[in-house]
Amino acid sequence: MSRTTRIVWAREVFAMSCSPAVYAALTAFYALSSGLFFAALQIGEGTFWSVPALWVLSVALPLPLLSILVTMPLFAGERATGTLQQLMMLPVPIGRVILGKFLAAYGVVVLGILGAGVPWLFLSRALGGKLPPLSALAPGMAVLGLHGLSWTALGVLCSVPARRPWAAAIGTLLIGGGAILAWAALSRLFLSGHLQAPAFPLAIELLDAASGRLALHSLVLHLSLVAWCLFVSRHLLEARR
Amino acid sequence: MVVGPNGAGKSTLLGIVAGVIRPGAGQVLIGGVDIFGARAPTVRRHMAFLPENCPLYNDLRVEEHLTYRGKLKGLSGKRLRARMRSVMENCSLESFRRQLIGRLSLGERMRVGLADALMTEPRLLVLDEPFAGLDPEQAGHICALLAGYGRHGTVLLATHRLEAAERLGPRCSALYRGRLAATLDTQSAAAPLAERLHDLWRACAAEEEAT
Repeated sequence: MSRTTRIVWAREVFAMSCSPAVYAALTAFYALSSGLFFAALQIGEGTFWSVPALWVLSVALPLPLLSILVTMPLFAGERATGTLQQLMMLPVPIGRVILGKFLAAYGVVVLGILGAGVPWLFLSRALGGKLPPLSALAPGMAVLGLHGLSWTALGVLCSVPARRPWAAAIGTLLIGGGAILAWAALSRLFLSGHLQAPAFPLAIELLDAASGRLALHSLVLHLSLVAWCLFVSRHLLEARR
Repeated sequence: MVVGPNGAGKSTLLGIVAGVIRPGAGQVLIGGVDIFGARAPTVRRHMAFLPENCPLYNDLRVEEHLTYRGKLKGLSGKRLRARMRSVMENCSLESFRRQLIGRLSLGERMRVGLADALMTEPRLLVLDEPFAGLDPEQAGHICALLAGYGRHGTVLLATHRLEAAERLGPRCSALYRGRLAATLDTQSAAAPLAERLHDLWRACAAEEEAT
């Protein structure tokens, strides 16, 4: 990590640790994911869904919300207060500033994913070892980490041109949600005759991970998306410098 | 020094010189280097800009803000500490170094912004209304500080305070509706600066009406 990235990362970590909005976002995320998990356990009992699959899906659904709430003020907030202009005046490589902010936001997302495993521990203790150990969730957590990485990078990208944090949040939701729905629609339209064509590849990826299967193409897909988002963010900021 | 009525283009001119606003035409050369060119980072290292609204990180304390900005400007270790001590003393910030910036008054914020601008001892200091929100005593203190600084580097500032303009430099440029209306001698014995500017604005307005 370069010096500039480290300085910006430390500043953002400090700002997030003092921000009531981040604590509210984490609380909302834990409440939603635990609520969904326990509701899914009630509904999914006796069906073909495995318990780890229900947990992974319950965490994956509110995960974009956490990423969006954490990333929306990164650049849009600084633009609204005027400090972004002061930051851009400095002779620092802008790519390193973006990386510092991205890593800080991703740290909160990882914290959220790890913390979402707590209800599993409670449930496991309550059921007296009938559930698989927490380590069974590791592949699911890894893929959730990749999803969080993509949503965080998209959030950073949308925060760069936005004038207000809420505009960044709406942008991330529309672009991310729109891309998933467009993917599903195109799959149905052009690949409906192929049995192997998944309508929601991201959901299939999560379910595979829940059953312990990790695919290399997931890693490639998410890392490419992250690299593209950060690259475009850098160019957008450089163009305004 | 740049003076002019509201809407004359003082802030826009300073923003262009500082490299924050891209001009529609023309170039800004500082030391022979284009401020928007490929070598701009070299120039930016030697300049500082304080806008009128004085943007600061409201969630940080004064010393945390200066440390963060100082580190981003490339300072570290003993040099960072020495510069922090120096700017805090010069801008009278010692008494509220542990205060949250969000709780400071406008004048105090302006002093923090000025301290930030002075951290790396820039050769070019661009200040937009640095006396806004300051009481006469604070303004006099900052004025003396800038007068001293002007002997080591170049200070370009826009202000409405004519007494400060008279004190800080021998000449000032008067802008009117985006044009350079005149360059005035601030210490002329003929008439006070305020009176001469008043006449100039009236002449500009009359000329505008005639055309």
